[in-house]
Amino acid sequence: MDEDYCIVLRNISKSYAGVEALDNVDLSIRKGEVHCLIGENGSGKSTLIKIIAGVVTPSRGANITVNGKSYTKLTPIDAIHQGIQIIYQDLSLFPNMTVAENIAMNQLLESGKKTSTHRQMEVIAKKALQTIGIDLPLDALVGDIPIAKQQCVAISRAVTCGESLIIMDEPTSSLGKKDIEYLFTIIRTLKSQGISILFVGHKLNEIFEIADRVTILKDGKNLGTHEIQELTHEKIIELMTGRTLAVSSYEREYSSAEPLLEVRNLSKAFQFKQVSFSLYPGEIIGITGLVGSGRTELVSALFGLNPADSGEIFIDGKPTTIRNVQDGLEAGICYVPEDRLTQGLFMNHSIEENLIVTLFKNLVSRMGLLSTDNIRKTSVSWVDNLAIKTPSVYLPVKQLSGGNQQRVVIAKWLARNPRILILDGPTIGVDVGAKEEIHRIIRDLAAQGLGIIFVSDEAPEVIQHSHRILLMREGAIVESMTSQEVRETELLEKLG
Amino acid sequence: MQKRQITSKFLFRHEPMLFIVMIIFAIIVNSINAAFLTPENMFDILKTSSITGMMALGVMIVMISGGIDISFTAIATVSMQVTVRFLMAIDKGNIVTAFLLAGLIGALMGCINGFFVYRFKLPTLIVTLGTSSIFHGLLLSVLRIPHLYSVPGYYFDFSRMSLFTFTTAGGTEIGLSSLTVLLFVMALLVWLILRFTMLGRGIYAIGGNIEAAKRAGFNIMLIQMFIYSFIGFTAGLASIEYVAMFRHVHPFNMMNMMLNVIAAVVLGGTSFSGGSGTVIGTLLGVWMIYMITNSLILMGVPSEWEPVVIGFVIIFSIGISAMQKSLRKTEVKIIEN
Repeated sequence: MDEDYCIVLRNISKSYAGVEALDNVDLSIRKGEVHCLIGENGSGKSTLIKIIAGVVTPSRGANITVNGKSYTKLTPIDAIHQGIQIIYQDLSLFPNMTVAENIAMNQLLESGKKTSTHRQMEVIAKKALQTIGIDLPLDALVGDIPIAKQQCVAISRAVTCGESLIIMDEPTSSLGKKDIEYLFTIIRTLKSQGISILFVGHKLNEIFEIADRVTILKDGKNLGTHEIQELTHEKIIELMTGRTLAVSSYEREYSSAEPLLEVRNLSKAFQFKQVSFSLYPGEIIGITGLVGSGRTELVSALFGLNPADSGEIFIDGKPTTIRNVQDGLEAGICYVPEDRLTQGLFMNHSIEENLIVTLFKNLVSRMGLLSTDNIRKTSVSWVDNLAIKTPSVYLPVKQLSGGNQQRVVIAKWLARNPRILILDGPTIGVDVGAKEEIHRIIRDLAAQGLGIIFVSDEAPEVIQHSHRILLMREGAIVESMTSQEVRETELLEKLG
Repeated sequence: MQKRQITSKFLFRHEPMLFIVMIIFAIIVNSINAAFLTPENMFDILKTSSITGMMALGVMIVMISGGIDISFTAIATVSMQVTVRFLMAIDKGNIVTAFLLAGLIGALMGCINGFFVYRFKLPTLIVTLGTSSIFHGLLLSVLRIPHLYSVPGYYFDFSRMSLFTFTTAGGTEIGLSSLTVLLFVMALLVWLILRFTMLGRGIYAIGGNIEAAKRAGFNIMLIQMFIYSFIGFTAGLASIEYVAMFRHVHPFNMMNMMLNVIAAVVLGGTSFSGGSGTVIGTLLGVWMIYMITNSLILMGVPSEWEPVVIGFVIIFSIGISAMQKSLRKTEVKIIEN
């Protein structure tokens, strides 16, 4: 029976400093299947894939059978020789080298050769690109090509050594909708060639599209492997979080007396054109569109990060110029960027330091110095307010889970008492449970009278959590609809 | 469209741009002083620049790997002193043993840098700042008379050897100096390493993304040890070239060459943040620097102005490469769309 499987793991346990990361996990992956591994942050997903890749050694008693050969643990070289390749979330490419060099690197290193020519590398790269059925300029620098193409490079590199299992760690986290389709086409091509894929992710609609089987991890335990046909969205969320989440659309009333923010004919060359809309207190507007549709550019223009060329902005009916971030803050606008890891947080600094960075002015004591008392009170109260799970406000932000990091960013800006909050992709890279809580926070804030604009390319999220949806294409708002008017499938169609 | 793409691709590359700038510069200087574009002056520039060129090859490799080494002038100074004095003390040796010994001493000192950089993951600037001070300080405290104004004749004999000698219309005999030939040999070696070996790929890989290099299976320790001992090796060779050219051993003169070497490498298009750089670019950068200083002399500018000009060159060339990079990115974006 083992012949149908490319890898069978039994009794995999691993603990770090007494904390059980994995507890007797079994996992088997069939030949030529797409197997999804899901679970909340900290559920042991990454430890498990590292064990398969041989980077982490499991505790005693483990048994791993790869292509019929039995091991008690794998080393990185065993894993590579058995045809196991990981595509890391950060892709692990060399931006300064060409596509051909990047693709050929693994095979050249594996073969142990000391020399290589460009011709050899091009041959390897061409063959790999053929395998996954795409075409890329071989002599372009990887750092110069878009992220979706970079992903293709990473996948091509993974198939150069005659692979049997490719592990993809959250491959869609930085891709737009079209690019995800593209990735899925490649995955199907690989599958048809008998290569197994272990797909680590947490976007449920993607999993329903691509998976053959799904394994759910929770707190280091395998909650079971299911055929995809046996599962529904609700079932997965229930299994993952241990509670049933009410999925309800947002219907709270908002006052439509006077708009908080009104934008007329806002334009910026090559980015967005003739954008007009109003935002009322307590209203949630969802801006959606493909990557490159100008949505991020538009919202960062409202904040002053990327000022518009022409057009008018009214706050409370008064014309306001926003030429830089100071203007934006002055007008009561706050912006939470898409890439919270690089733009929104100082990862190595403590939660407290991150929270107070936008409000030094308010924390100064009479002497004109920063008051540690005030700082402590403020940071502790925000940690409580947003239920950030942490033993201490001194913990560096990088040690928090994705959802908690997102909360720190939101708290940091809320601490300034904004009237308009712009959230760019607030739930990107956040697991299902934490996502639900971020939605709750957004709703609560709207209920308090804030005007909220959030950018997202997930149709269900936009429909469930906004009053109005603005659809952007090529820098213009092509359609404005209320969330009651539109069905998910309709919106998806319009998006694509 | 196709044509535009090709021309812009050409101009976005650093080396052709630098070459064009060099030619324009030479023509302008020559129109002020016709002694500039003469075979004598050109071969002289090739000869005097070869010491800087030798060290620049080492600095380039370190910078490609994303590091920086500022101890190479101290390494050169120490290996020069030790080699010349040792060979004089045993009263044996020739130019070949001098080069080999100095290269070996330099490489060993470089290993110390490599060890600290790899083992303790220390910032390369700090490590080499420290070792530079240690190496040079030890030299000055151990040797009470660090000057040496008479050295064996084989050094000078070497610097007078040349290839392809010919006589100009003016009657002077000129040729490709042995110092320049040695630089070309080393440049060829470095080019081969960078282009055709996995070691060379590893150097670029470390500079591009060290984490990815580790995951791909490069032996980071070996590569970093090679990089830092190689720059030590080039510094050792350069120090013997110095003795051959100037016929003395001096405790400070080579220390002052640092700025020119780094300026040449940066001007040659090697990125300060690592990951890119070419041998051709570095050689062009070295010659450009020497053309600039040479022309200042020919135009009668006081030599105090040289560091000012070099400083501007460094900042200007870094600015240009940053601009090229952003231009190339927009170009790719436009093509994508």
